[in-house]
Amino acid sequence: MIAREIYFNVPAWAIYLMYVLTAIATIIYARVAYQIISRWVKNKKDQISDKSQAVHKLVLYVIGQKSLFEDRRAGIMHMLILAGFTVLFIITLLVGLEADTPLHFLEGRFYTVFSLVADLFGVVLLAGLLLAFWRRMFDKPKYLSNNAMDLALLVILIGIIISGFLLEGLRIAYSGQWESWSPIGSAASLLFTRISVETLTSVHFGLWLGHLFLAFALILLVPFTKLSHILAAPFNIVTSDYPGKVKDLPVLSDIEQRNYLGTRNAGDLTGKDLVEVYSCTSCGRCEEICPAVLTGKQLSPKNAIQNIRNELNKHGALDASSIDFWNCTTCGYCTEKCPVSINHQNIIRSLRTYTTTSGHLPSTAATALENLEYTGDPWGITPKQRAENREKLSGKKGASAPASFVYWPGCSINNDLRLRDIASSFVQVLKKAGVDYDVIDSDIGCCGDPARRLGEEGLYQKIVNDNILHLEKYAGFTLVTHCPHCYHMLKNEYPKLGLEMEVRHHSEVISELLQQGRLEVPEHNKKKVVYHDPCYLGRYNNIYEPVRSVIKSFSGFDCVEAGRNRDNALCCGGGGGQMWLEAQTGERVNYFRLEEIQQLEPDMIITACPYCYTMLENAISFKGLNQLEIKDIIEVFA
Amino acid sequence: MTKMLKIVVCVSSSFFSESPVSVKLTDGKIATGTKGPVIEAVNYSDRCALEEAQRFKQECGDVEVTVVMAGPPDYQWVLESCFCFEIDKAVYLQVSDWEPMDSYGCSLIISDFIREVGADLVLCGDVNTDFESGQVAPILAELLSIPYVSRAIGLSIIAGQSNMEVERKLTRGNRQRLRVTLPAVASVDIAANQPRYISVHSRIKENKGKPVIVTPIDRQELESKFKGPINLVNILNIGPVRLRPKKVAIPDSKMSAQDRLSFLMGGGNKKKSSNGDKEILEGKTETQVDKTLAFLKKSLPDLNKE
Repeated sequence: MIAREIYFNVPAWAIYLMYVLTAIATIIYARVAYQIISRWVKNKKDQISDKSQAVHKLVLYVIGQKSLFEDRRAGIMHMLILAGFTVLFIITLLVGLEADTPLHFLEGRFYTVFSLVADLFGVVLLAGLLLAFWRRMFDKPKYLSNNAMDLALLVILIGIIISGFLLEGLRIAYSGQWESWSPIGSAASLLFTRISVETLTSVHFGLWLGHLFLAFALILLVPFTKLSHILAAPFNIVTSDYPGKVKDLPVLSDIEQRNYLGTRNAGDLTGKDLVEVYSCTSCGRCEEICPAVLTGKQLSPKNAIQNIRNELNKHGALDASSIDFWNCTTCGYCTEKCPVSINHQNIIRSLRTYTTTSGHLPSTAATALENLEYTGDPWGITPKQRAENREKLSGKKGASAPASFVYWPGCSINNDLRLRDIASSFVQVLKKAGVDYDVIDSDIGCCGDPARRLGEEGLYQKIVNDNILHLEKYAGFTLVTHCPHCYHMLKNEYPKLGLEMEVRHHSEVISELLQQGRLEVPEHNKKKVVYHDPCYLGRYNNIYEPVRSVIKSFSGFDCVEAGRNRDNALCCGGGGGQMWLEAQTGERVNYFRLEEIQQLEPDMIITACPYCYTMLENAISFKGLNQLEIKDIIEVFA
Repeated sequence: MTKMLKIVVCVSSSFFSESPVSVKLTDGKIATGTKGPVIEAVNYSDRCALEEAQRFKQECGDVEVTVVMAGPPDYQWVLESCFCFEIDKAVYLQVSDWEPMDSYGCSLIISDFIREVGADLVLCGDVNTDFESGQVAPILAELLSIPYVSRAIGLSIIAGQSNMEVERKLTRGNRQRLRVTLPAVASVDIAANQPRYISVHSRIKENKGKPVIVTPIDRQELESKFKGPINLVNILNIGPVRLRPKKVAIPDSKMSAQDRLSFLMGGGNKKKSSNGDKEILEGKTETQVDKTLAFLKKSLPDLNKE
């Protein structure tokens, strides 16, 4: 019966050596697994894991590698490696079962199929590895960084495959029989036909030892290098909210009892954070599109994750100063692009939370937070001044029917007259459409977004709890806001602290009013229009179409898509508290984004966010593009 | 072996009249309380003094920092926020019948405490943002019969802790360097440093093992000790005696976001009360053009003829 000797030409001591190495590897793996599991259980409340649609995510994004195929060459390369590696891993397990258990199944017809599959997938893996080698050495995509370890890992893997084929060839050469079910091994045996039996066995054993050391070098390197993604990434993808909107940090509970908030050292990383860190493959996709990187800031989401990983490997401490976390705009583009679903910004923001709550933050941000607490407005606009502004927007006076909407104008209108036009345009549109609405009272100030983004967790919770109490009187109403930051907070963050209200963005409302024929479309001259997608409307909340459908309803507008649009849209540079921070290095993100849009030579930029509006308007003024208009979507009705 | 440097930092609270107060609710949530129309927080320049004491602690090593504040009953919680600095003790001198209390009375109470505990260096904020009298530090120095330096922006202790070099802020960017013997009182200017932000968490977290030490002080006993009233100046009234022109923020689109922010925080442009013809045009460009034309037509009657 066709079969093969498992430990051909291998002395007993070498087999024991293999078992010792296996035991060492098991201990190391168990230690890492314990570290992750214990933190996963301990910090359950502080981490977000979403196990819904697990099978869908597993099939499409782990097995199908859907996100990797956005770059076709990288997708093919990785699919070959994944297929080859997985099958050879199963093959090795079966060999282990055959050798170390009473089970014996590697014989006869099963063995021939087994051997053929092993040879074929060995070739598949080798092809994938050589493609990877080609990419790193010759193709060199700009976002792919190369270091010695990356190349060493490739060389080790290629070495394991080639030495495996040669070992098979030597064994077949020793037996003197052509094994057609091991085509590569049999072909390799032709290399050794003229070698004496003694030399052949010596070479075989030497090569076996080399193969063993390479294999265990790889196994032992897995937890400490990017190869850890082999184990962590599938788990991370399945337990992450992916694909879809970017998920925000969880709300920290019992903060009074905590000595500090956020991530101070590696011990504060949650189990999910660790899984994310171990999932990173340094592929550089996050770096390729990060607004901070594109504009020459020191922050790199990839390096941030890798720095944390290196610190974990070295001594378990964490030097937050090595990460330039103040430059993160929290746009979520990195998470959107990450093929293994790492939520970079949450890990970065957790470092920010610690720094802010321990008092060390840039002075402009500190002033904004103090204003926010003392007046309920990051610009220091008092409730009295807010009341004056909101009085002008009031629409329910004298209306007999109960208001269907409560308008949340946000804090941005309080300090900028141009932004106040957005609010007044919106209420004018509501009036024209015959919609009864109310405006929230001036006791309610900011939604708390600046505190949340700047890492002031206590202030954020205070503001949200306050506002929820004030919102009780509007129970049953629908909240409408023109600010995507307020929208995101009210829709996704407030429910975590108990708010139960329907929340809508003004673009959704006007899109519906248009469809119902309750709004007239004013005439506009022929204009080339570009819509800039706000991050907190698009990537965070998947709202892309309402504004586009409104723009398309204007016959005069020729809507052109920006180079980066929808879930690929670049940030304006105002999110993540950047409105209250000053870029110390590199180009301003708003200037960069405007240059991208400017390549399309539009007559008008339309957006649906006061932050984007301010940032892009600033950039237009700075560049002296006086002929270029910028409008909020609601202003085109004015 | 150098002896331990004892620093006493005198702080006061300042208020913001239109703001709520962060307090803990019974269900564990943080929310705004209804303790009145003011927020009490450690005065900004006092925080600069605290930051300076913090720097001494980090640079000189063997330093004991005691923070002291005098005030009415039940206001010791203002001092709790000082624990976000690495201080050793926080002492609240809780005075019965607090009102009325002027800078002299306050200095008298604090000087009594400092005499009791002893101090090599007494740091105060330059002025309190409420009333900007800036008197506590000099009166304190006088009562303790030790040197006083005002508007300090740099402090360094030299020669075995018996002397201190101080850099003072003068007008037009000038700086004055002084040397004083210790013990001394120094009031720290806000240009000395950027004090750390006092987060809500640092105020509400449980200060394990470091409570504020409350020392009750009986006003009558104090007055009999000093043989007379401790309050010499009485406030008659606080209120606007001269109305300021209304300020409105006019966004200048040529400014950067940061400049605009500073501009807005600074109060914007002055808008004079409308007296007929003078008006700053606001709103959309079309509206502004219409208003300009209307103004020109009114001002230049010849235009109407054409």
